[in-house]
Amino acid sequence: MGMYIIRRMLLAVPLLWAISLLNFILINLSPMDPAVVVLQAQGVPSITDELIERTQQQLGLDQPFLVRYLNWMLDCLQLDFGNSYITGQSVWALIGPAFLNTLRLTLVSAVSIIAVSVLLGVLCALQVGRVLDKSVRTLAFILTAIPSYGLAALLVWYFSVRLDLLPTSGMDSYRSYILPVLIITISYAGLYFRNVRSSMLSNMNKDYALYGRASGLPERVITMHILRNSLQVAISIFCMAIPIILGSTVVVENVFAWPGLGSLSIRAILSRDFPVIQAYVLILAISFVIFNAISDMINAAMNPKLRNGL
Amino acid sequence: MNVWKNSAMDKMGQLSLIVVVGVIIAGLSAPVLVPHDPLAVQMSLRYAEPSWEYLLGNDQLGRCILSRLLYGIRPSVLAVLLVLLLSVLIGAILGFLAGYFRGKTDTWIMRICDVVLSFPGYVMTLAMVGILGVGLENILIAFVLTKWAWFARVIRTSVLQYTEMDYIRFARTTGMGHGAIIRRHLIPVTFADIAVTASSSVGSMILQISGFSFLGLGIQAPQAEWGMMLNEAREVMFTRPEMMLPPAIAIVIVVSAFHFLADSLQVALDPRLRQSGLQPDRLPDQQEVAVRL
Amino acid sequence: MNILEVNHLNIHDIHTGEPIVKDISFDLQQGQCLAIVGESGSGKSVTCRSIMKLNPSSLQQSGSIVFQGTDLNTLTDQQMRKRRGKQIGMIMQNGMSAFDPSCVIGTHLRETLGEHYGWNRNKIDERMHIAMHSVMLNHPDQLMNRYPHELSGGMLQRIMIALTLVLEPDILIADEPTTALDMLSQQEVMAQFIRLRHTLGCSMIFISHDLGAVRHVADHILIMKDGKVIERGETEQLFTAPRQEYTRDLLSARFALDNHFRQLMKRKEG
Repeated sequence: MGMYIIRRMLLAVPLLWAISLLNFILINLSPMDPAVVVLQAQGVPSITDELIERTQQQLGLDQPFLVRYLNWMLDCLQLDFGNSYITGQSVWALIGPAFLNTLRLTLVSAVSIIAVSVLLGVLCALQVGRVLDKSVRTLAFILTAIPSYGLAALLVWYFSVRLDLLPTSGMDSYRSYILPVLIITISYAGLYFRNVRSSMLSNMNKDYALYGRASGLPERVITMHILRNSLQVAISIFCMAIPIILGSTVVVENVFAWPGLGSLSIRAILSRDFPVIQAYVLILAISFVIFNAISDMINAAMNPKLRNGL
Repeated sequence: MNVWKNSAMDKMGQLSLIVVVGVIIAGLSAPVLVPHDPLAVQMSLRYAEPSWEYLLGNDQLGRCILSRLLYGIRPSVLAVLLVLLLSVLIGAILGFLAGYFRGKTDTWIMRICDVVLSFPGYVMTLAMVGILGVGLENILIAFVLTKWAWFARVIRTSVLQYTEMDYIRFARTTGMGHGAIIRRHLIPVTFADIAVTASSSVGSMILQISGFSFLGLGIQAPQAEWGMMLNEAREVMFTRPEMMLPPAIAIVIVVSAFHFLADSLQVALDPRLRQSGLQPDRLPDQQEVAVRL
Repeated sequence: MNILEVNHLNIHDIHTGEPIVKDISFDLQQGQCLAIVGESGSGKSVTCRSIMKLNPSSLQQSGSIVFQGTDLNTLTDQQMRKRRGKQIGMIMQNGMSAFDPSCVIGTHLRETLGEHYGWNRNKIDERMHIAMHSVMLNHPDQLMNRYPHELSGGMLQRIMIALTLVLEPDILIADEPTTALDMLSQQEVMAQFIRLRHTLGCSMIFISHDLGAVRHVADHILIMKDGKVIERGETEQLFTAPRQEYTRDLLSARFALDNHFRQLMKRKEG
């Protein structure tokens, strides 16, 4: 198992490097000149060519590509992502707290999603074809067709405006977690519970369940065995889900004015704040790769057959 | 194409097919179909109730909601289908190349796919919009550039399982050209898998694209788009919550129709699922979980 | 004395309405071995699973199954469960998939024996080791700590036989136990089955698609096709004087292979 972990981590390194390169290239493809963006943000009335050139020199944009890339890499490794073109603040100072806020939301949501998906998935599989199963699946079906922002708007209108029970925005108390987490849970649990359910169903029909019953084992013991095997799949999916949720809280953050990465990125995009966008993409891509690796490792830990895969 | 002959699709599937085709036709013929100009602002008709002239009423700027919904089909649904077509096409070409020729071609294509897939598609789309600027075209480009890799992967897997078979090898020994083999033997059998995969992605794509418009990153005002209409409705949510209903319901109906269609297609094309009487549930595959907006 | 009587067993699929097993009746005498032979899809496995009432709920069965005087169809789930393993045992076709892939073999063995006898871990291990030695498995303590995918098909079959030795059921149903094995393992496992019969004196139902394999172990043979019983009779009688054409086809196919092999060997020697 130890060898597998080492090999898996080594595999991630070239991927991380490729990501950083791609990220850097991407930013440099923009049709808009960063110098112009900075000058416009500073409110300079007339942007002359001379001014652009000077700004470019200031930002180090006139140096050759490789030099800039290496400088950027070295800076990134020291967590120095440069300064925002718009506000002039250090990007890390902007992203750091925003990342934490989004992380909090993500983790709470992830726990909620796991709990709901596993509960519903297992229950529906055990009651397959019956009323509970059919009604939950129909409900999930409808809910996954509703855009999360529509649902968010609806729930905000009902609970905050009509009933005045929950805050409409911000990240003040634990109560402000309720609606955002609810929206995210509904969006994802509706999908994940299907995975848990079909994993359970395919295991319920497997030979070992039959042999267990033929040997006279009670149903609950057999169900425990089925659960063990089904949840392996579920766990690996959840590990992958965390970075996905991390990146897609954008809409929820927008609706609830949650001070997280999502809101930050949208603002950065709308104002062409490249360093922020760059850092945002980098952080999320890296967490994607890391969680992918962790998920593979957890899979290998639970399923001995996979350990020779690499 | 036995699907239509066998009428294997259940009633829900047939109903959703009708809905989908209806919506597509409505979107294509929007200029002819709309009762009023979707951009015509008439402040005197603000928040008007549904009437015979304005079947769904008027929005906060007095524009005809029905006309806006109809025009909104274009960016919300038709553009998505275009994106789907393009990314499936690119993915199919690369997937076939990788799966059929294998060896070095396969390794290289898959490596590129891995790198592209290791960026959360969502984040990449945001990044591209950030670089290229806001607007519908840029979002569409970003979507195609991020989605092709996943289709390439799936199609390659499907192609691989058929390439191994004896009749392909036999065809090669008889001197059949690669192109002919792909056209006559591989495409018909993999078509089912491709169709199922593609149809099950449409729903989430529609939600994502309208989500981007909701955030203000997609189509710009005053053009009509369902996500954007919801965003505009949100601003008057406290006083006029009913404004949120038309675009929300439209999205729910169309996305549900596509979901049902995808499920029915899967059952119709995979006879095993029909016999067991179970509804099709995709086997757990982590890449398949779409990002929800 | 008939230990098992199956009368007018009908099984059909609820969803498609198709009948799978059509009005089958047979008896199993105490201490005898009945072989059920037929090609894939003839309904033999479904029949035996229905004796243990282990078919999925999409298959509905009717008819009576009388085991030691009790009609199994009248029992509750709990009562039926008590009989499984201890009085009616089963050995599966594919050893690799018969055990939970995420647990070591020992887990299933201990759970089963713990459930039926209530022994503690040491006693279970002790008894299992003896049983595993008697089926020619060395180092049973190591084997019990292995995962299913680490062992060969033949070993897994013998482990299942060992478990049966400890459980001592009155009827043993063996569902194509040698089909998934290579020739040598088949020999070994068949030898174990014959020993099992003599040691325990239990009645057996042996399912196979291979007539030649059952010749040495069965007293009576039932030939099934498309869910119906085509022919039944004592083993030697069936082999020497089959009445149905289908049986003759099965036999000749078998013998064709055997004869060809013998001719090849004769040519080599001569």
